Amino acid sequence: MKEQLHLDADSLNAFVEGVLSEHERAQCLAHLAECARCRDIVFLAQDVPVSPAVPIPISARRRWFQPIPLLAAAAVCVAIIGTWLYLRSGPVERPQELATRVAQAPLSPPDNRVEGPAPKPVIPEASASARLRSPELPTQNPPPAPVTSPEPPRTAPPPAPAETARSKDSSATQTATPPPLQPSAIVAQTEVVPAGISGTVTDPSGATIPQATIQLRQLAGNGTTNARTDRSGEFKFSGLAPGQYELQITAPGFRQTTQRVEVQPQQMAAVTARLEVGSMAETVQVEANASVVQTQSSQVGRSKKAVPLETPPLPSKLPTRIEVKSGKIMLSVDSAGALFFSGNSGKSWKAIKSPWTGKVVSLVTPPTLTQDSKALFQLTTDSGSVWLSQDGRRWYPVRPPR
Amino acid sequence: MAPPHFPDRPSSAPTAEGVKTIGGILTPELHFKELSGLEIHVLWREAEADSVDLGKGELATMLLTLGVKYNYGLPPGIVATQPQIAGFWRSLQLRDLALAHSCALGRETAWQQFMTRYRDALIQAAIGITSSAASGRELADSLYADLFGLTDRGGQRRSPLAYYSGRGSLIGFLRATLAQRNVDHHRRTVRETPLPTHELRAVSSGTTPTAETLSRLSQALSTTFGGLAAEDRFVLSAWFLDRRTLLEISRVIGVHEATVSRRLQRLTARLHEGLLESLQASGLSKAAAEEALATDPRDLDVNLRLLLQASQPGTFPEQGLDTDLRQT
Repeated sequence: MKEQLHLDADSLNAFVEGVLSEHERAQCLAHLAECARCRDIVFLAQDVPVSPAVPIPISARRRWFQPIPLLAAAAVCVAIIGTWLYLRSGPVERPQELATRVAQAPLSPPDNRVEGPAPKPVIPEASASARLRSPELPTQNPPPAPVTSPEPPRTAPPPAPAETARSKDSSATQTATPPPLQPSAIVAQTEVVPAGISGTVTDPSGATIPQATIQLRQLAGNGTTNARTDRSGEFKFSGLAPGQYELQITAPGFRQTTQRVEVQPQQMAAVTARLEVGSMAETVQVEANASVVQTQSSQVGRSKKAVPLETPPLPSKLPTRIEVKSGKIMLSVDSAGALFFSGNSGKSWKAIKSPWTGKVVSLVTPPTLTQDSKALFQLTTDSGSVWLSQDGRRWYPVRPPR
Repeated sequence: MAPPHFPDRPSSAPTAEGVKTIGGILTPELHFKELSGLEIHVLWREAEADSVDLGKGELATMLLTLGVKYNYGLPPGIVATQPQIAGFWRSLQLRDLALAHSCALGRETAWQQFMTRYRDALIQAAIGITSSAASGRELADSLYADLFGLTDRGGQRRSPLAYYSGRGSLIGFLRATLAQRNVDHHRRTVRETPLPTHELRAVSSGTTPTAETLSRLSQALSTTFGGLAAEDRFVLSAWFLDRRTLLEISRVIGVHEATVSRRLQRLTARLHEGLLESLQASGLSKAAAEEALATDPRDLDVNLRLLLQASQPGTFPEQGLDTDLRQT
């Protein structure tokens, strides 16, 4: 029999993870087209994302539900019939009793038990209602404990019957008055918080860079996704598959930066990219480990998305790229790198006739340079020259130190 | 703490087998000048090699060996420049690489880290691959014993971890190794099981094709399949021979499953057209070619599986992957 050469585990893994160079990938594909064994390994070695374990409350609920679907239907029927009977009979005492209870326990949560059909004392009625409603409720105690001793003196003392019922008969209370957030809490537990990358893009002085372009590329794949930083220089990619990604960050007047980030399942990788001033053609390779932000809580998952800037009222009609404020004085740099001045907090704008050549790439207040203690603003142009101003209108260059 | 001094040139020359002979041109010694003391120090720190008892000299030797073995990720014959060499090293999973090779060298600290990081993951991966908790644990345990280097070859402890190159992740390498063992075990077992015999009912065809038509058809099939690209043949093999799903295929080639579906449609249509053209080129009329395509495949003396999987000249034209291949 003809001897056959196979790819080793390392090459197969590199192929599966998409980290092979083009020529190596082509060779692997050519072999895989021929070799059923290696194809089997490739398909088997795929890292198929495993869905998270189903939380216990859900499974308990399902277990509780599955054997007795008819009981649930019967409970609904009984509730409907009971409501109908109640509306027909119209008991006179119940509104008064309800009013008394509400007056005695003003802080108790709204209780639907008043709609219950049985004309019995309050607590036993609540228990009966609990039994009827239990299929819809969370099942921390899946089979609701039957209330066998409906003794009014013990379970309904005069001061606060509802509260007493909760404290004395815990099983009945848990099923009858569930915490209103429980169903959504279950949903939150089963929801998979998407993995992603969020971060901030800043210039060398630490000022954020709006409208920087971020190109995201998964190293194991071919596709790319683009985003822009918002007004505060932040960006976010969510719903990413776990794996290695490459971020390519570009902004006019800054050197392009590439950063690699590893995205873990259900975690948000945080990235801070600091761009160096330079021409568009220059590229800086940055290797950094991104810190990982826990996103198990839904609050973190709802963080701000990269939002494109609104059209600002600048005379150039171009979007604002940088905006700084000191008192009522506001300075803005549009996407073309032109500087604008406003002395009334942005109500009206005036273009600044620039003594420099080129575009403004960075604008900060207060200045990071300490040559002039009275200077309020500092800007950097794409040619690297730095300018200071005390009022935002008159600018003078910073002489490089000798 | 001041970083330990590392000489520009490691004191011991790399002695990895087969490295000096690859291509006859590139040897690790030639690239020692590329790996300056500063650079190895940076890489050594990034790999956290100190935490797994791996010295700078060992890491340097390993990186140089890998660089030569894979020609720094470049096609064979191309000499890597300094940035390409640095880029290749930086593209490696340095932490995983240091851990794996330190484990292969039998360092206790490394094994403790390996246990902590990969023991459970290994079992979970094995259970996922075998779809059985018992078989998965058995598979993971057997691999774990091998990883530890119980296999003795020529008086030296050999661990599969020594074959890890750091191009992919270590957990991916372990998963692929598990899959490899499982597939081999399965194929060995299946070979001992008799195949089911299905007697297919013959499809009534109007006319029996002549020997000449069958010969032309066989020739056309060989020509058409031979002209397909490697990825297309892979897709066809996976779909028609392995009966993989669109989703499975799409994951492997990194496209959407709808793209795989469209590609399959396009490929089958192209195959049909190609066969017709080949048949017409061989002298048949269009009607005769259409009629020949309607031939019952069982009349053909052609093994489509072999045809689809036939080795193409130049599948492995370079020697770069020779070291990746193992004879079985």
